[in-house]
Amino acid sequence: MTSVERARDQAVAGRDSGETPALEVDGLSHRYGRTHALDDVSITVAPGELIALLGPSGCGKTTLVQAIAGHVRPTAGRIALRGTAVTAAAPESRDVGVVFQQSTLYPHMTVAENVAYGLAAQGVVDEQREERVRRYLELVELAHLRAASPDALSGGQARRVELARALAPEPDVLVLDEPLSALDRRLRVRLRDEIARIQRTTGVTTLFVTHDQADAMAVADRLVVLHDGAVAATGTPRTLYESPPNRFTARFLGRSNELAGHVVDDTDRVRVAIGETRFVVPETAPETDQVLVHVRPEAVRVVSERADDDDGTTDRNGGDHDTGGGGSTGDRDTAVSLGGTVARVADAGSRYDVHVSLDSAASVDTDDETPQEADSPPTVTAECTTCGLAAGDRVRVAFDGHDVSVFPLSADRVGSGGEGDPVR
Amino acid sequence: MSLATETGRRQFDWVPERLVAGLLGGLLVVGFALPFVAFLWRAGSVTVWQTLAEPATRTAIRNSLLTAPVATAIATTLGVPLAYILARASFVGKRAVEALVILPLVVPPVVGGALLLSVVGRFTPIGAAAASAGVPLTDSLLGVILAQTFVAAPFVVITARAGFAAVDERLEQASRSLGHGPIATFTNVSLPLARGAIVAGIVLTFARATGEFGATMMVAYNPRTMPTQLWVAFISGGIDAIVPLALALLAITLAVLALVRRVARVPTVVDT
Repeated sequence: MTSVERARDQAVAGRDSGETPALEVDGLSHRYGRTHALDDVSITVAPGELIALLGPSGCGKTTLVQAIAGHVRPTAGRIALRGTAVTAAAPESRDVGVVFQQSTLYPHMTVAENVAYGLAAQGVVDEQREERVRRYLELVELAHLRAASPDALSGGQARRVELARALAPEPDVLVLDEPLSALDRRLRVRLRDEIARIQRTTGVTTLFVTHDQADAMAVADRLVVLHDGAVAATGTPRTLYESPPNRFTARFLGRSNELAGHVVDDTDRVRVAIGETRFVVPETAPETDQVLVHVRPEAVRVVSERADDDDGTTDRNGGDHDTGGGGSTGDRDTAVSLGGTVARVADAGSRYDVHVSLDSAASVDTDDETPQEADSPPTVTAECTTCGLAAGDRVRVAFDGHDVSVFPLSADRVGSGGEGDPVR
Repeated sequence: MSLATETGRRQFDWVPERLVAGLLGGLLVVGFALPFVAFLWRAGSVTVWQTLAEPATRTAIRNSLLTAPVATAIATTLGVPLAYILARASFVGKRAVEALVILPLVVPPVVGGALLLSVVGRFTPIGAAAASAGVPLTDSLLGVILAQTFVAAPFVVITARAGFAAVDERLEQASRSLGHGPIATFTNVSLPLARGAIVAGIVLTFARATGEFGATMMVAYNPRTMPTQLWVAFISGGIDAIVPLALALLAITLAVLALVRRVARVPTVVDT
């Protein structure tokens, strides 16, 4: 690369924010034969940031990690660390620390020797090396195991030693490739908090790769959702959870109710109809008339029809019969209320999941993940803490247009057609 | 309770199908053991030490102890890197290389010797050039080493290759990401982790080189090694004449095996 190119790259890198990104992935594509593993992926990570790279298995996460670490030479695109392009550089000449899903501790070395291994390559002199090993073993609270053999460690201890080993050379970027997947649930949560703490302490720029949305949302400053080798969404966990930009993100980040609707009016405000019920969605108009209305279970209220008779009749037609009466109009416009029958109440411990079969709402032709027979009425799941409902109860299901995301249905179908990704 | 389980297991062991397997396998074991025992039986009636002290025998032992370690060293030095390449890299013609490595194993040693002769024989360009330079490649210790290396090297390549393949590639990737280049990674990580298999391969190669007869006979009938001396003794004196040297050959191989196991702490040489 010429100095001109480098200067240009640095200029591009520094254009958006004031500082040079710690890691910049720009238009990265990779093919294995004719299979596209990565398709034009761009990610920018600011210094000190913890980014979770989230996606189902087979979405290209591992290829991306391998490309960033230098074990895979991408077909196209560019990778830069601290403004220096390293796309073609050997793994040992870029400062990327990697922790893999499976343990890669060296069984023929002690814990301390493992941690010191990366320092030896840097030419850190003996005294400093000792000091650094001690410091990083203390950071992961395993200083007492320095002379142990990796075979003698528990799964969680091995992970922490690997973390110390990857951090000891003080890399530009730390890449954690599914670091928790091989651990059981309780240990996973503990280690995940531990990783967040260590990241805050060291301030190391971190790319946390995972297929687990709970892990990702718990630790990350920002999420990058990967789907079929392309970036599906980028943003803070809260933003992406509450207003997902597409159906895949909505479904991947949490439980999702999906109802088919259509746009009745998008001249002034976007007005959507589910069956006969119309309401206003404070969102930009989708590209198609046929839409998918997405709402999280916790945003749905279920009220027994007997107890809520009056409200039920008022809300029946929602915003459609809006009379434009003063300040409360906005709320009325966005309110949705649908009649239905409780199909099942599942006890989820801290809450109940109420599954309601709706009387009249267009069913969505969803994939296998939500088994819904074509002729059966669509169901909505709501969360409630004390609702005292039982199967067979007549209820009204209510939610607000503000809590709804609307996706173009046909376009999304094209986008996700034939996908084999497991969507939770 | 434990007694009951044990009894149960013992009964399970001798269900008919196992009995059949046991009988068939047992026949083979007897087939291995019987000649060995019968041969050792003869050893009692032979003057072992006296024969071993004869000049011809001593020369043969010396020649074997000179050539086999050299052949093993060459096979290891060249074979271990090849094994690593075969375990890790994919390249055009890899199948052909793999076939070539196995070739000396499947070709009868005598034919292997003939193949070698067609390259280094006295009347080939290479053989003639070497002979005129004073380092004849046939009927010399060098020829013996050539024959031994040709026949025995596949053992270390194949065994070491399996050893490298068993090392998770991510351990090497981690080493690279920790700042070590490919060669440092090989010596720091791959080599120590594949050590057991490599040592096993070296032992097998040494045993094969020490006992090599067919190719050696073709390339260098003289100077005599233990196997060629065995043949000469057999022709002139029958089985009893070769007992001492055969025992010496066996002793050397077993001693090396035991030594290597002890030094390298490899639990079972052939299993690894």
